[in-house]
Amino acid sequence: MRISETWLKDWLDTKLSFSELPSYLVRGGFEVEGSGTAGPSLPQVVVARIEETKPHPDAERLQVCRVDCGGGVLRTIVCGAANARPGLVAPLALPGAVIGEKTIAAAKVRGVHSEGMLCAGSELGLHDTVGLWELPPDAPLGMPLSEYCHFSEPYLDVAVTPNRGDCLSVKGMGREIAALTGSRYRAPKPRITRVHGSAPRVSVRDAVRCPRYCVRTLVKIRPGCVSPPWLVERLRLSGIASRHPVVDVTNYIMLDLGQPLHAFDSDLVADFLEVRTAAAGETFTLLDGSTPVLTTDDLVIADQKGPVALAGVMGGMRTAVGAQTQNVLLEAAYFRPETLSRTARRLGLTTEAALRFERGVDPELASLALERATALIIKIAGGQASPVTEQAAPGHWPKREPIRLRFARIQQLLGVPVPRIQVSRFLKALGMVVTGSHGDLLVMPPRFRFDIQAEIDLVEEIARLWGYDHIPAVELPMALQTPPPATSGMRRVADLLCDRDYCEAATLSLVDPAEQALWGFSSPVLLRNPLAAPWAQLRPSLIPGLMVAALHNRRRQQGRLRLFEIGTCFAASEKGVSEVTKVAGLILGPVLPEQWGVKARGADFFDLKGDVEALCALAQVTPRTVTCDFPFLQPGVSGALLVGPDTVGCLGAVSPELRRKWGLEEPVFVFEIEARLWGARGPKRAEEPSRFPSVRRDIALVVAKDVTAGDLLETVRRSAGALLQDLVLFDVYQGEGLDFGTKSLALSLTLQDFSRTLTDEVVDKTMAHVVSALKTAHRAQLRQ
Amino acid sequence: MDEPFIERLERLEKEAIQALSGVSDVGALEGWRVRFLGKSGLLTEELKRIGTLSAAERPRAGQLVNTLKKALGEAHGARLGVLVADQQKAQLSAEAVDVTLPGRGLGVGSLHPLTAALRRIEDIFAALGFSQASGPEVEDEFHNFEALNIPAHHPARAMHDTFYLLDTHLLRTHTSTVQIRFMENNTPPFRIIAPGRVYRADAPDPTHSPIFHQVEGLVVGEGIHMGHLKSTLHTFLEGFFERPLNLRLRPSYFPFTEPSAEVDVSCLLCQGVGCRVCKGTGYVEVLGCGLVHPAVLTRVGIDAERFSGFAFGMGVERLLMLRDGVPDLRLFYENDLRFLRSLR
Repeated sequence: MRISETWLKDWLDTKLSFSELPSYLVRGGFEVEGSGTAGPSLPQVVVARIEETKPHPDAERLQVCRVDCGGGVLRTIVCGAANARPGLVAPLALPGAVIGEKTIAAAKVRGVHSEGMLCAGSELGLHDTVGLWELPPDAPLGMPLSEYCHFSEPYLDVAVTPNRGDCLSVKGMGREIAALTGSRYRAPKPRITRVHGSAPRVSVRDAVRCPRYCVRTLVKIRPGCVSPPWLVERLRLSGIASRHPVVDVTNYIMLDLGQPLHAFDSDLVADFLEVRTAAAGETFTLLDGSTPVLTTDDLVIADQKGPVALAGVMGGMRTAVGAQTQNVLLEAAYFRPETLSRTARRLGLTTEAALRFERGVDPELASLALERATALIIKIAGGQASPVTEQAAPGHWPKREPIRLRFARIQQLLGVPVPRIQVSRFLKALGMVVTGSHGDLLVMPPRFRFDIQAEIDLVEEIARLWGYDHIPAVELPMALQTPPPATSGMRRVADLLCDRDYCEAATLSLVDPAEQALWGFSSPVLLRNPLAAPWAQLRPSLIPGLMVAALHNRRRQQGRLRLFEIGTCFAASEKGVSEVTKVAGLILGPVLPEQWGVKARGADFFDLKGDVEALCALAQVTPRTVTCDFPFLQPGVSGALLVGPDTVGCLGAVSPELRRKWGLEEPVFVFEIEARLWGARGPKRAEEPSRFPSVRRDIALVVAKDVTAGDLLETVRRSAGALLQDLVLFDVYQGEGLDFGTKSLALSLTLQDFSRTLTDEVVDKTMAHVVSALKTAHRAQLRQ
Repeated sequence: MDEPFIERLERLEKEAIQALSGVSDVGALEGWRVRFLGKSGLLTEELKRIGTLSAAERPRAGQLVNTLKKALGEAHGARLGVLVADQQKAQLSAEAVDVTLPGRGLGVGSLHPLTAALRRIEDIFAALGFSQASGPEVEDEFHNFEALNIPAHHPARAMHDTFYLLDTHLLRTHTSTVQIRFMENNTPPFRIIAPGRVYRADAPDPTHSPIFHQVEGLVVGEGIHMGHLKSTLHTFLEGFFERPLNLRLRPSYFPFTEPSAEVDVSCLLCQGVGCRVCKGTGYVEVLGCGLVHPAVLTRVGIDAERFSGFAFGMGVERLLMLRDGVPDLRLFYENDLRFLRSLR
């Protein structure tokens, strides 16, 4: 909402200077988003009138004009505008004026001396005009244009929160600022227009959704009139272009009073207007050229041929006011916000009118607005007004009821006692009617305050006017209701990965469905209204995101990458969408940073697995790794992590096909584990170390190549029993000295008892049992 | 006395001292000892010769030999000390390294700046007695809007450009949803914070992202008022920004709090003088807050006459941009190692 100094003065009588207002506005809840002057300073651009024109001797499209810019001196100006004609008043840039990037100088134009340039609105950086900007005939010749148009006038750009529809007008802002600053709000008395003829016929068929409809006819409007510069300028300040005086006045009254108006060319209206529910599938062309298909939820203004306006949102093309218009129907109405808001939202129409109706327009405002608009149109473009036809159903106007305000409640919520006298004063300043002075107050809010419905709304108003600055800070009582949270298990997981040289990434949880399909993820959770295709799905996994991050860094000469992320992943399930927190990691490139004295080696599966095992060591139960294929992992270099029968994660090499699609030649290793693995552990139990010596025995086994280490170790654990304290696989060998298709694994077993020193006999017996179990289960032979 | 005996002893002494000066390691020293002082060494031989001398000469000769033996023994001891010290020194010097060479092994990774900031926020609030709550990112209209006083036609919905799933669900536009979920299942008094990701249909630019992080706070109890809100936020913000700050509460509008406020702090760059970051105002906006709207309490079954409370919500990226001078919000999601490590 832009308000300029003189416009605000129409409504506000204050001793404060305009530049003092922002601090009051900010403390009153209105953010001041900008400020400036209404227009450019435009030195050397003055008001001038063309006295005579004659064709340029050398150029068909140019005219040579004699121009009066005050003081009776005529200047010769060469001009190419089609509307240049004797009697036209327009801006003239004299030598020395700067227009755009160009400095105007007296010069010969195709052989004729020209002492300046007659200007179009767009050339001055203002508004588009067809040809020269046509100023009113009575504009004072020679006056600087910026002075004539009040360009030096300051303005403020004030943000109005959605609850304050009453401040979406200069009148409303004036009223509010008066309350905030203790100044006087002045409401000009409406001028009553003399009326002629009979009132137009109207039928309101839905009084619930349109509880007030006022309309009148204005006939014999002078065609070809232009709006005066002050009006054009006030509209331009608000970002609205000048079109036709009637349209300009309806827009102006909306900005000034907050009441949206609409004008129909009454010669184009078939018979009479009615306000009704749209028929399903009904359609018509709006002023913006769109042709929405309507539903029975929409309210329209229609004539006997069909809809002519979408009530409170936008008018229709068929009955639009144009250059030829002589007779208009001028409408001011109150529409129910809910209906209108649904229509505007469904059709994506955010018009100035809809914005105001949605937030609430005072139903009483319609007649005042209609009178003001009528008077202004007649002043600018002449015409005669008819009596007003009004259909009102005040029973359907927003209810207003007095609100009980308890002083104790004010102190309870603000923590500070606000003196009664102040409370009353604040409420009255805001236009509320306050009764009862000793006990509780009864407060009747004004009709324009749609946001004041309950006691809490009044408490907020009092806080606002009392000033948030005057509420003292008070420490919360130190009552601890809950024990401080146990340090999250996931913090430890993140710390461990950092300590193992992983950098944490944060990748987008909105991803590209096409890419996820390449990775082989099913059950996608898709968005109905994505910003763009690459953000149309909720991520099913963290791995593709880490791959994007890896690629980003790879393209920036980072040869060694170790990334991880902890985040939510999504999958469609029978119950809707399941959200699962996961931890994922990615490694690529050398296992160690480049350094001296160590032979460089590319990271492999077992480097990744080492990190995964370290993570698993933090969990309550250690998952098993089993061979398992995943669509995005390389077969044979991929495994699943199991807890019981449940898969809690996976690890492996990204499939060569996928990584080549990403343009990565080297292997990339990834893991992903569900965070539930590190669920609450509760207190731990200490273990007493044995006081007796342990015995270590090493064995080397030869087995067929397809026997997995995991199975072999499992057999050892099972067969060795309770004495086994530690089991280490310390060598894997295949090749020379072994039969083809076999491999050798070397294991060390540490045995220990809690109640005695182990004898050779017991150790030998245990080892023999282990070896025999290995023989039976895996046909393992002891290597000699 | 036999003249040659004395001469021999003198020669022997000279020879021994000379030889000792040439000894440069412990092995050679041992050779020297065997040669001169050993069981069949030169001095022992001289001792044996004493028997061939006259009885009168013997005491004097014995004395001379013993003196020499003692002198050579001491010389040996001294030499040994020097040689051992030299040897140790040589060994140490052989083992010396260039300690300025870089160390070996893995490097150190880093937490994402957002994670580090969230931990900091969680820790500050934990110290103030807040526990943590969480809620789903995929939400329903009720928890994201209706329960928070934002009915379907409400203009405030336009402030949230919402992503919808194919069904009726949506991606939460704020963590305020957790307020509702928590209050549905708990009875006051309580103090919670709820950190998490939120979604808005904003195209990415230096200050917008369709995905960002918020931390929601909620305190409900008897006698909770605006003054408590002010104090809590002041303590938190000074803790987070690690410096004294001026706080300014400006009236604002959120459907689920009343009175509502935007919180500004004195500009972190210019300390309130006025600069580019604060657009000359001396203040920067850091979060939104207010007293929980009685209708919100009532809707979740909390007696709004007996209990009151406050709530606040902050954008974590924005706080970090202000604190650590991150120039572009998109950097948080680009995962450039150089950026990630710069805030380690």
